[in-house]
Amino acid sequence: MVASELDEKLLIETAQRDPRHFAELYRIHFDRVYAYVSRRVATRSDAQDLTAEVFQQALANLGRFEWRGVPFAAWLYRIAANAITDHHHRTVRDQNVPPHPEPGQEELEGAERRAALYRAVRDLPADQRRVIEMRFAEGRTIAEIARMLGRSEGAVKQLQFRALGGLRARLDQDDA
Amino acid sequence: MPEHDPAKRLDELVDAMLSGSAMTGDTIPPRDDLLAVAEELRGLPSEDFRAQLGAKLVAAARPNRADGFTTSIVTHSGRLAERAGRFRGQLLQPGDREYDEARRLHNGLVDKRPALIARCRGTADIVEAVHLARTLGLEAAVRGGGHGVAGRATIEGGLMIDLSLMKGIHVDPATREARAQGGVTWAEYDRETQAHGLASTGGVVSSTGIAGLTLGGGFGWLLGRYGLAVDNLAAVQLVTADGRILTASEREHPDLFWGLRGGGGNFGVAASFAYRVHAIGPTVTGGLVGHPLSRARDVLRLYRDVSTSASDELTVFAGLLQTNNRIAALAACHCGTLADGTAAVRPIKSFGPPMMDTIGPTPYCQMNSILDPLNPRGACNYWKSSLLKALSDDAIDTLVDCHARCPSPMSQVILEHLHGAAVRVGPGDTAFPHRTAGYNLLVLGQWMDPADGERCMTWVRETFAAMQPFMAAGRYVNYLDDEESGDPVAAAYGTNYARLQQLKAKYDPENFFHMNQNIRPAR
Repeated sequence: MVASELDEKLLIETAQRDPRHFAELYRIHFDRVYAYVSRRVATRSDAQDLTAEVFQQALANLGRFEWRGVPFAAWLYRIAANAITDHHHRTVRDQNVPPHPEPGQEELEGAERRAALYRAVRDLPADQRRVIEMRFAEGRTIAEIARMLGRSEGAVKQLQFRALGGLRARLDQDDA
Repeated sequence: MPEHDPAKRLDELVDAMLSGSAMTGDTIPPRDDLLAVAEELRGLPSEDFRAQLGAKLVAAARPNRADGFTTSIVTHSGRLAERAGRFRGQLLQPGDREYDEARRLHNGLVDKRPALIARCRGTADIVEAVHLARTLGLEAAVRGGGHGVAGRATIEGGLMIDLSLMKGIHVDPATREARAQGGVTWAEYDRETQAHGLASTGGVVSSTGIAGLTLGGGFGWLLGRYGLAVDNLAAVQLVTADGRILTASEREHPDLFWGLRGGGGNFGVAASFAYRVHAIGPTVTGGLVGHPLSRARDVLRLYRDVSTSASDELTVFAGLLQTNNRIAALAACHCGTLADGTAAVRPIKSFGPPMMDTIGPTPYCQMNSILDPLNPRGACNYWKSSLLKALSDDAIDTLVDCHARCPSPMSQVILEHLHGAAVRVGPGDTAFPHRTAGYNLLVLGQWMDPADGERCMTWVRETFAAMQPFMAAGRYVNYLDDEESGDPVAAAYGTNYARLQQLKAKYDPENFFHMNQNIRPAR
């Protein structure tokens, strides 16, 4: 058994014993679930609602999860795929919408890549991270950010430039 | 997502790249690469949402009812980890042959049953043990020598990170530095350093572990000449709550190094220590002199006189205790030349006819173990301790009167003298703040028969209460008991406490290491 599988198995056992420890599984898997869901729905608020739903379902059904060598992430992706299908049924009020297919390899790789990027954002220096969050999580313009942070637009652009460069380097490093 | 306008974003990015390169001179990554990153960042989740959902899930999670599951999980998982070859030491669980011996501490009063004991063989094992505790959701306690009277080296139902197999010691006489792992005792450390004629301040009971004693400060026979154990530290290798291995020294993580010199086990598991060592002995002038208890008042006044005028080389402790007879005892160690030592101890040796007198040329290793028989492993211990404002005649009278009511022959009152190099360090220079010359009082309740427990504990509490008028505000963290009222840890660190709380928030914000004299992380 490889180390990561062992860790995951222990984590799941622990959370099954005491669901308060589900927090650790959430911490590990949040980014990939969000990265997957957010590309399948139209708005940020839908992405948030569905991500919350996936983890709430996972927590509620954790006792039924059986370790059979299939990664926990695959289980979460399946819950997410079903939740997305239900979401589309609700929003278009059309029960004939075909079920959201099991995510393909390429789609999962995309989600994993974005999840790695989200994690890398958290490792940025504080001022760069703040700019990236305001820009991409809050959808603000350079001018707005400059005003809110009390800095010049040039300074904000420079921070964004450095952050993107740093993230690119980090992704290249991960790929290598 | 609709919140973003792709065209505008592209314009701004191009703009940003140009201004960034012009202003910084950085190597410019290809524009397409940066745009690809920006595209991937589209819809980045907000940190607020991530944190809020996490908190909501934790709030929704309810613990299952307690059943036998914990043990089976640990049994299962412990074996798995061991089999996976990740743990070089032993993982012991209830039922294992060595479990009962491994779970015992010096203090026989402590009787806890950890769910798992991780007996580490190296730093990598400590990392693994921290990881295992987190993964299994177990609280962790750390055992170095297992001497701490409060019994915080172990934990009921949790994971004991046991360093007692980590016995490596390396002495470099050329650089005058000794490196020792976290499971080493002072007897072992002294033996190796003395093989080179070297030493640093250690504890006065040689079965004490170097780790706990050092991290809390460390009183020992060389404190007048070379300061506390902590004042001889050059570096600590630490495993933090997130499993990182850090070296703390004046140059690396100096803030952490400051905190480790007195802050106890709050910042991580100390895997090894590097000490500056000094030429000592191997023969020093030292030993124990005992007078009948009827002369206790005079002996303690003599103690006050001798200690007040002592040179840095001479450190003297006093005790009302029992060897073959109940005695008022002075234990002295002079670490200078034998001629100077002989002269320095003369006032002690010439005071009346003693019942016993072993003071003379003594191997340093032996000096460090003369109190061992008075502190046997497995005896039940209950202590209270405080620094004193002064050793006044009234304080001496009160102490002698209280000791007269001592219900067990093994119980003692001890006075330790802080002076010399130990008090020339500033209170804020290290986390250990008590840097004023004076005395530390230790009321040491000790017994073998469980039936004596209540009486001894009552005597300790009453003696401590009677001595209150003579006490200073400060307390020595290594002597704090498990049952303390008020906020003894804050009292132990005084003006350094706020800084320690900041440091705790930096290195262990979740308070993973809380089975200790706990410093609460600053909020």
